Amino acid sequence: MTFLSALLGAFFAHFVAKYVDARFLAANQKEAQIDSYVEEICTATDRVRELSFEYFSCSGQDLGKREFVVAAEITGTMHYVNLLVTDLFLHPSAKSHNQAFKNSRDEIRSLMQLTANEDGASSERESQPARLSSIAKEAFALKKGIRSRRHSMKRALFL
Amino acid sequence: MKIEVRIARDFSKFPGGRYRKTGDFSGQEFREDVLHKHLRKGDTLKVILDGVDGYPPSFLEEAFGGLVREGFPVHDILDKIEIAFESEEYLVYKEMVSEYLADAADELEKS
Repeated sequence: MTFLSALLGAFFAHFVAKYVDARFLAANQKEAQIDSYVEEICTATDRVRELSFEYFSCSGQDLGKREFVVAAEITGTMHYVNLLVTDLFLHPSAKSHNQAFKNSRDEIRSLMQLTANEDGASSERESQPARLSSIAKEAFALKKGIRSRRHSMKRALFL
Repeated sequence: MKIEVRIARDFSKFPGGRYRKTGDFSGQEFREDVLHKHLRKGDTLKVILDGVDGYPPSFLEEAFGGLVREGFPVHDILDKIEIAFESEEYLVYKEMVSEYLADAADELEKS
């Protein structure tokens, strides 16, 4: 009887240890995935900032054929940032973070509007260097906001 | 009758800028060739945003804000055009359309 109890106890302890290890491993993988999303968002936001600097420091005539290419790349990259942010805060495997999503969306909208010319790409567009400081500020605000909201997310181990 | 307009399917997967003169699939083209066509017939529309890899803000402003500048009252536009999406990443564009409608109405009131 004592032997049987010891055997059951050992089996149970082994099972619990395995279970805890598996939970930690899964949680760590999930955290790493979330961190990689955040890094990708920041990288893509930096790309938008660089492209916008190239775009608005030149006129449409200066950029020539690249006028439409750069404008399209800014639009596409902003959409990618938006897609990543949606996945980060509304991923089905995570709890939804609606307020974080809304705050990030406000920042994305603001950056989208700043990084796009009011009339779209055009060879008649003038350069607008005065706009660059606002673009830099909004891009950094978005990155800071995303990092801060990520730190406020409940850790995967406790979900 | 509510007509479904999927921008990616029924107009273009690659919306352009504001005016026709700057290239194909502009906001002006969408407003004049798609929205007008249906609104004149008295149709109500469900405009679905999904399937496009990003909207230039100038496209959205000219397509929807342009309706206000042409004299369509905002409440009529909101009654007749439903802006819809299936994937949450398009919510940001729907919010931009609402903002442009309100801004265009404000501008019109001031002038």
